[in-house]
Amino acid sequence: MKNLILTAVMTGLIMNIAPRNSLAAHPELARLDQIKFSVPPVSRYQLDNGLVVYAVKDNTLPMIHVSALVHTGSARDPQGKTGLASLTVQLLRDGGTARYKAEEIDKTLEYLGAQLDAAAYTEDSLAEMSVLKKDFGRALDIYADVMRNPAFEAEKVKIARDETLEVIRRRNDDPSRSLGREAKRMFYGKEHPYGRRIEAETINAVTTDDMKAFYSQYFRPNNTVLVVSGDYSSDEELLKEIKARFGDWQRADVPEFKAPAAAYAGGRQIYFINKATPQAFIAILQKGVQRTSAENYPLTILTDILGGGLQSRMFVEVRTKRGLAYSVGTYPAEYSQSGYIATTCGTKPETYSQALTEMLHQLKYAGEAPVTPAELERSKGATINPFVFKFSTPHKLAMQKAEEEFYGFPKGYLDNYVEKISGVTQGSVLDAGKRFLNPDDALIFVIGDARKFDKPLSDFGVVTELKED
Amino acid sequence: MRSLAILPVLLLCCAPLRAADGAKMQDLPPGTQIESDPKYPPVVTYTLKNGLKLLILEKKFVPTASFAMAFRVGNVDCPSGKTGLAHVFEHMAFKGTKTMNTSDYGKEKAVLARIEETAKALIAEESRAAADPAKVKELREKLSSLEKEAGKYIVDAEFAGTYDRLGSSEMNAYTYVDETVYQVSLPASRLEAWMIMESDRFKNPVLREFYKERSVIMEERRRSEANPGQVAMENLYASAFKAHPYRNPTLGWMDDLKKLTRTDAENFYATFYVPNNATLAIVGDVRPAEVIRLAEKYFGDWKPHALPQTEYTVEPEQKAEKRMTVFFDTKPRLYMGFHNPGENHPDMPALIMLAEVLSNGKTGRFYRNLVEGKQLVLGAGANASGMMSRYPSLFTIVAFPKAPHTSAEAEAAVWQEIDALKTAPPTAWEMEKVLNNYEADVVRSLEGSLDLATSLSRGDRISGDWKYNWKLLEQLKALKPEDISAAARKYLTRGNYTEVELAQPEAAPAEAAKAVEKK
Repeated sequence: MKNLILTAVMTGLIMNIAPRNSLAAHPELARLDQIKFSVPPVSRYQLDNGLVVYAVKDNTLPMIHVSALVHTGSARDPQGKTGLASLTVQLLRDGGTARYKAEEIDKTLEYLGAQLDAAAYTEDSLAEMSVLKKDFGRALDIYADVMRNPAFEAEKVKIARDETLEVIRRRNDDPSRSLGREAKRMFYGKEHPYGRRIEAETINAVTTDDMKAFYSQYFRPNNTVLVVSGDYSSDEELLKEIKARFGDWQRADVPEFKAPAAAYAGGRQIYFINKATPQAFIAILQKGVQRTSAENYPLTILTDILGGGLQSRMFVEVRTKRGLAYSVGTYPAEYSQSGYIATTCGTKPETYSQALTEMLHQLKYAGEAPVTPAELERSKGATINPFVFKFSTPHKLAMQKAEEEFYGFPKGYLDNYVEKISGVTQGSVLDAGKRFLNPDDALIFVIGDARKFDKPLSDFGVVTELKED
Repeated sequence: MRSLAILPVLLLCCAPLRAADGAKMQDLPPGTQIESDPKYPPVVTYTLKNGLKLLILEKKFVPTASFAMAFRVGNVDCPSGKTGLAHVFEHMAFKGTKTMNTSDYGKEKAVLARIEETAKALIAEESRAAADPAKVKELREKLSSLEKEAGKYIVDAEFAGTYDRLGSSEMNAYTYVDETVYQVSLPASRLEAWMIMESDRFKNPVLREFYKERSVIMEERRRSEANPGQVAMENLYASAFKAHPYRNPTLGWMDDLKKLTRTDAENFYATFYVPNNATLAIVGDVRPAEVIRLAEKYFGDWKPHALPQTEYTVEPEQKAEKRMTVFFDTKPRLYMGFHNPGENHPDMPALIMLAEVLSNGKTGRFYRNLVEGKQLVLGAGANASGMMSRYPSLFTIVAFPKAPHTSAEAEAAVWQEIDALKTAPPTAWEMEKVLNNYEADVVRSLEGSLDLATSLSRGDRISGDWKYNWKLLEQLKALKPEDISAAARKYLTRGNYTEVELAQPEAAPAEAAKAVEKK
């Protein structure tokens, strides 16, 4: 164990990462084995029209959850009509259906204490409902009509569009929220499906016909996975209910999505918005991988060690030892076709350069020296032992299995996850550090009050100043 | 009003929890109670001799257990001039013990004493009207070099890292005006590990790295100063309360933070962190008999002592309309507050129902009339108590005007809704809908484990009864429509009203900041 201290000192890193077995204080804890957990079985069915159904029956509480995952989102917005997906999916819930006026849906569901929400994200859309068992049939009638026969009532379209316009007006109210959005926009490109924003012009350009066309292109049974869990009587009964409502939903070809390359090609790029705000907000974005990539195993461990929690290097060095920040961390973000790794921090402008210097140093060091065996052991424990929590309720279990298929993970992904994480080595983590975390290949985005900066941002490279809009 | 089928659903909801191979009285020590009323979940209650109360609920899906330890101590209990201390201690409770996060506590302790002496001298010098810059610099350098020396004995994040290895999920803690709650979920087989970790944490904490952590908390405070919602709420409570400590922000005033010492935090710990001030709730795949045995083993020797009286200055009747405009670089936002009578007051259920009639869902009056009808606001919400409960707090309303409409228009429209309810009670349908929602939410609350554990421990220690949410449902059910109008007339009045709106500074933001700096 002494060697570890030596390694740290020799590399010039003032880092004192658990130079002994961290269970030494309470040796009885060291006896504890790795948690063994096998993912419980989940029923999977497929209707003739292609609709896949995952179901977990659990009669503990009189509640049933229904979720639909649909392959569509803002990344599918046509050029010049950004916001189409988000408006369309919101209006599935809010805009009425062929059978039910919007007001009737609100009144019926809210009276029953049922919850129904629908929203589009970047590549996926999600419609979620929870309802007491006694009202399941009635609520499922509405849910099915929402999914299959949206009406896009004109008044509701106006309300939803105005709401989007107001959200656009308010998008810079909180700089910590602007940061991620604007950094991503520069990373992927202002017109890139993963990077673009909804603008007043683009949301105003969306017509009801656009929404109808968008809906009918993507909301198809063969493009959807339905997830049901809770207090239903039997899988047979449940399938009967589902077939009665979704069995004649027509399948259709759904266009493939191809994401263009990110605008960011490498090198050090710095963007800055000068704003009088009590903290400077920093984001460092680097190239990551797609969601299903096998490179995620070492990257999961690497980003956890680097910036994943109270014991991570970023946290210990920037927060605990230097008191420079409350929030600091590194996390990977994944899409179907590419991803990024973000390192973020909020720190007072008078010492922002110390925080940024340390963050860059840690990124660099991750590619220079292997993580210590103690770090590796801790991080694996922290990834493997809480694996059970991904499945801690019937609906979480059903969703995990559904997402495994929906996102196109290789067969057995969940069953093999622990083994794959166990197989991560110091070498594979170092290799990931070298390839992904070179601080010279980093896009740095800062929002802060330049007059209070202890050093000019240009000390870190060529700065492009942007205006908040 | 039609009678509602609340009880049968609750029976259904709790019965399966009971049907499991649940606790059997003969296995449990004397003094244990098992809740037998089928309206409530079958919680097992046991109090250690030192006053630590245990609430245990067996719940099996996968083998996990969730833990919430609630202490009846929050920001209201901070001594004058030491706002934020409760939250500072909560941060320090992650810094280890006499055996965790340290390689040699004996040596470390001596350095910590010198750090404390130096920090106190530094704070004293910095607080002087004419502080000597040379002396401040010297003391800062001395503090920094002593901190480096102490750093040699520190094992970084050992406490958190151990939880990591054990397989923790959602490890966290929160401090609020009334309470401090420590939370974590673990694989169920780690029950004894939790007992080892937490008994050590609360019996033997060492508040190392205090002054660095204080800097972290100042960053947390700056972060909140950049957040328009937090800025508005802080102003609302600081203006509505002129005497009671609910006026102080949980994060503390910056000037108080600068003067807090490790000694302050240690005194605070010694005063309030005693077993007779805590309730531990455990929800998950655990056996009550084993939980009780282990709790006795690890927490049984934790020394209790009498708690100080915590009857703080009672807020005098407001008798004024208070209005303020806070300049902040944001689009307009409106925050309204009315003093409520406190959560255990008989008028409270009517105020809760009133808030729900106004803002529950898309059929609530705010959405129907302000978002849709008049199309004045992006959204609006009402909350009868903001989760505070030890003392009377605020009924709050928040609204975001939609351009080109103003906060003044939104405020007038909110008042119209309030005034309408004063004269015409809500319809039976509106109230039934709220009851049905509460009923469904009580079932939903049993789905998660950590939230349930938090709610049980908080309910017991802060609201005085872990059945608080279930009983509230019964109280809501007993309300008559005219009770809501009466509550609106009694509490939502101009003389009991504080209004805060956020508005753009008149000058451009950059220039405004400059002007502030020159002062």
